[in-house]
Amino acid sequence: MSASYLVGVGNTAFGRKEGSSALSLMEESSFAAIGDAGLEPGDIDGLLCGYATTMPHLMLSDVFAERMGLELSLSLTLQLGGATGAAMIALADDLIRSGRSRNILVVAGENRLTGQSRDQSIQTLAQVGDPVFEVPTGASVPAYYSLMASRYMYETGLREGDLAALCVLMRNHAARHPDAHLKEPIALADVLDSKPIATPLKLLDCCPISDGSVAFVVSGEPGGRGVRIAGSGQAHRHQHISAMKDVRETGAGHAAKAALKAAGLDLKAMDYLGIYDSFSITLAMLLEEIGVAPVGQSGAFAREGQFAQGGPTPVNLHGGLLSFGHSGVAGGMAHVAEAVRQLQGKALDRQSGQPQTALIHGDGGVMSAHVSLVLVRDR
Amino acid sequence: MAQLTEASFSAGLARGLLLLQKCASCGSVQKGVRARCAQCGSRTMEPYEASRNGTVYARTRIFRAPSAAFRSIVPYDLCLVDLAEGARIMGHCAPEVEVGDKVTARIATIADENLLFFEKAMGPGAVAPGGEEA
Repeated sequence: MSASYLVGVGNTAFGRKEGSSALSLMEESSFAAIGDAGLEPGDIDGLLCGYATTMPHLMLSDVFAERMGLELSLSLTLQLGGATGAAMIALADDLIRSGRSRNILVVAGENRLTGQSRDQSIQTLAQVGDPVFEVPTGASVPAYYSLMASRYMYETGLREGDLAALCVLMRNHAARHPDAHLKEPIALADVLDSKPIATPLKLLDCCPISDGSVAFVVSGEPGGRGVRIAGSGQAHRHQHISAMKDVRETGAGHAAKAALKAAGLDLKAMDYLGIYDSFSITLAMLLEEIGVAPVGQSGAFAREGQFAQGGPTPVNLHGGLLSFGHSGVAGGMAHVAEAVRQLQGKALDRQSGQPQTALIHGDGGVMSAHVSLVLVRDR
Repeated sequence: MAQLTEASFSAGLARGLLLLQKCASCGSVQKGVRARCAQCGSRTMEPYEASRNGTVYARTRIFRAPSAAFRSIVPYDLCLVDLAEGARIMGHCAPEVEVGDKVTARIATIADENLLFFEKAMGPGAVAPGGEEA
């Protein structure tokens, strides 16, 4: 195959889903994606499955395949934090183009909100830190990102009001998505006055913990509305924040450049952006390192409407992790789902023009794993 | 002394020592336990007692703690410090410490852990305050 295509998209609503499990959520989104692709479960011959913290099984992909009644010639579970979804799509693209698989189901989901206590969730996530040099200090994921934020703001002059502008934008976007976790409008003052978590980050600078799942079918045949995976790029330079060399050069820019080069396109040619936003600072740093906004200017760009529906480069029109919600791997896949729907012209109230190109960026750990994708709708 | 391990770092703190890894070839002090020198790639490392003096790279005040032990002491201040030797290390710090400050650390028992506690350095040539509490 010369190219691969995202031919099916499915998701559950994000938020509180009492009685759900990782597998039940994955099942719901997978049937939706296979149906959206116009395929039957029997057409799927490969499965890429993201890890679930509420179901840390040795071989989740095979457990799920058994439940779905799939007989596969390829089955893998991947773990790369928030970059897992983009990495699975990049791998699916490689596997399809090499001829290894015909139709790959890419899925992740978990009951991260209702399947464990908030303390359990925070402790599990804190383990992305170094177990000897960092975790014993009483650090957590918000702490790692806050440390990074303090340095980034010291170097660039980015302010808390700039971060708040990004949070308000994500909430405005989520308000138009029926499946979003947080839809109640917020103002800048609500963000700035929300309770402190780890300075400079406050509660509304942090994404919620959600239940939810997203799935895709990646195929060598474009079908009627397939979105081509035109390029991917990665960068992995550190795991722990103590080992991060430079807050302004984490690898995000390198990954995006590599994806754009593989697609033969420039950043300026991107009509739509799906950028990881676990915290407001994550989104600001990624937009600025990738070069969408100049250093320190992402908040100003947001205030000017650059990233809004109808703006020149809309960002996360589903509401991002900050408001659509964060259910682990699926949270980062929701950015891709929205990009595909925008490119297909199927985003309903959220549709922003007729975009032909999209850049996706996923970040895992503490700006540790970076995976970028370029998606193109051929017309 | 044998190669530094994760266990010997923790044991070092318990004895009042900040033990890190130093490359035997180029002298770089490592940010954690490494199989190869981050600077020159050499596999020959030796244990090294670091100075505890450095410059604050980043800092945050934590209001939401990840465990019961730390919840009992909120708010507390965490920092990343670039030690004079070049390694970056995480610790607690005094409330008034800011990014860019010159600091020096003692080893303190905080929430039942032996941790670095950084305070503003007194001035040029300042030495760490004595009296390890660990």
